Amino acid sequence: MKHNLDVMFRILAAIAGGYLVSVLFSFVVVLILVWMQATTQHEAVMVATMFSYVVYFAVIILSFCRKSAWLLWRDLLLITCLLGAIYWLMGEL
Amino acid sequence: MKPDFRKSMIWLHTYSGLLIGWLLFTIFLTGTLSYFNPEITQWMKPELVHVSSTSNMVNRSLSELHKHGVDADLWRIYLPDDRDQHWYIQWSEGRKRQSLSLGPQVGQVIEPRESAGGNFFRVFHYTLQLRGYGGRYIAGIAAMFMLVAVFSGIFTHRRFFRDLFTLRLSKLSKTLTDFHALAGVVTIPFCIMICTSGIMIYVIMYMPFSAEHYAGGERELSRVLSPGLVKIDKNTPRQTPLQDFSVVQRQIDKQWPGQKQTRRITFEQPFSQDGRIIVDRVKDLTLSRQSERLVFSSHNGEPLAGYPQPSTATQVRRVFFGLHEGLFADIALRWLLFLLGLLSSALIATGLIIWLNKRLEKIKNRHIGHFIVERLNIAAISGLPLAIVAFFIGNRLLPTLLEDRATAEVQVFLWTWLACLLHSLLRPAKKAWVEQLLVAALGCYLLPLIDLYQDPLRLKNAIFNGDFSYIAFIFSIFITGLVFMKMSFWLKAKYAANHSTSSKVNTLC
Repeated sequence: MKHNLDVMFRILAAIAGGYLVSVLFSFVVVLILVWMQATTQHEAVMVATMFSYVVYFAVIILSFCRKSAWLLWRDLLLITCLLGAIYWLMGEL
Repeated sequence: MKPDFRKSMIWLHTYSGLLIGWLLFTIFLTGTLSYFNPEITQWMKPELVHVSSTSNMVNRSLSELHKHGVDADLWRIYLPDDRDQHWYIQWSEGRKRQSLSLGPQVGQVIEPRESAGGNFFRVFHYTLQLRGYGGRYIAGIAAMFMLVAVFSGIFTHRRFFRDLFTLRLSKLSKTLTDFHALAGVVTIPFCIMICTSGIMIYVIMYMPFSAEHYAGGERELSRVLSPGLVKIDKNTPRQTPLQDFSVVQRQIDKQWPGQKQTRRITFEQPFSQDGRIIVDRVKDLTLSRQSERLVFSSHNGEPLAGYPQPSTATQVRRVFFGLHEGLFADIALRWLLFLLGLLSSALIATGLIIWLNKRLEKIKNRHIGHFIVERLNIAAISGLPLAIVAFFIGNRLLPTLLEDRATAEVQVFLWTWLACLLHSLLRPAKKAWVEQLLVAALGCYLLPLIDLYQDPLRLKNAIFNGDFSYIAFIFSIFITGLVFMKMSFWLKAKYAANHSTSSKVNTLC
């Protein structure tokens, strides 16, 4: 039973958590690219969205090789907070 | 979860592959067939004849368009090339669009039979006949699963190189495992390329939030990143469009040296003062999906300002799209891609079978899950090819003048597939395998015979005119039939051998 619960949390982290993190990533990278004056905002959206799939993929793999589901969710929560904080701070700029 | 990285990757490989394997097999097999989309269409519409002279084609199309498409909003001329023999024109007013296929003789109009053609496979492999019901999202999810399965699959190999050179034919399960490992190693780059580029086609659609937040939606984003031409004002004075294309053709020849460089000619608002001609170049010279375009005025053929340069990110996405479609590939590379596609399909199929066999060897009492996997394996792996063969047979046997014939062909495909599923549920698994493979093989043999019976001239003409796509199609079908037949007999023999050994063991006990 414990095993099933563990797997369920991992699958949830991989699919939903991964998607959430990559969406946040695609928001934040646009701000960073525009701030660095690397590209225009529209192009930054395209670039950020393309790279967000790499993040999604990384989260999926991470979800199934982290030691425990709790550590995994802690990591995801930290990443989400970090990305959220960057988004908020850069939005203020 | 498993303690070390490798073991958790094996677990991930097993279950990500199993969960969506049947869907992946379907997408890969139909997608592989669409590498030969125009050739299959050509076979399915034998009325299309080879047009050799290209000199006067555009002018002949134009005179037909002047006859039929007066005051239309849009004219289009699709020119045939080495692969696609279909020469046709289109004219449309608003949403109403009409088209006409032209033949080699002057004034000749041909009416090819209505058929879904090879395009059916292309559309099916990413919409699954569910466009508007989330079909493209399902295909995207499947591509992501495949990437995960390929990546985690790499870690299941302990000896990468030894796996590549091992194939034990003695026992069914060993053969399958070895083949799976071998095909896996060979197709890693292909699978990664195909899945990544497949996702990139709908990159914004699958993850639209950033685009909606910053750019106001996907459409707006692409309008800014790859700007089009200015909109034409319809209310300008009326002008007669070009009658003689040679003015434009000379300029095209100067810009694009070489023979047969034009794929499609579009007249936008041909009867307006500001009307324009957009000429699309053939796609074999670029990796990108968007080939070069030239723009001219529609009534005097003067060159106009072309398309603005799209942004780099858009160009990257177009290259991904182009890589996925593979229209740049010449005949040898195309066959290589096709064979890699087949090998990937076989990889998925063997993976599914291995999952089941490994578990059936160990257990005494079957779980309902084993039953479901077993039946779905049969319905997907032998049922889908059978349905495809039925689709081709349907193309030949349905009456040519049937209404909605293209839909009827697709119905034949879907119903045959459903019949395969029912058959696999009703029959014992071993018999279902053998029978479905045998029927698919017979269908493959039947196909050239039907063709020969219906019109013996087709084969003769193909041989004498050097129509390689027709000959290659028939030949491939024949080879496929042989492979299915061989597989069916081999399975039967293996089952019989297994049965006799197990009964021997029983008598010894």
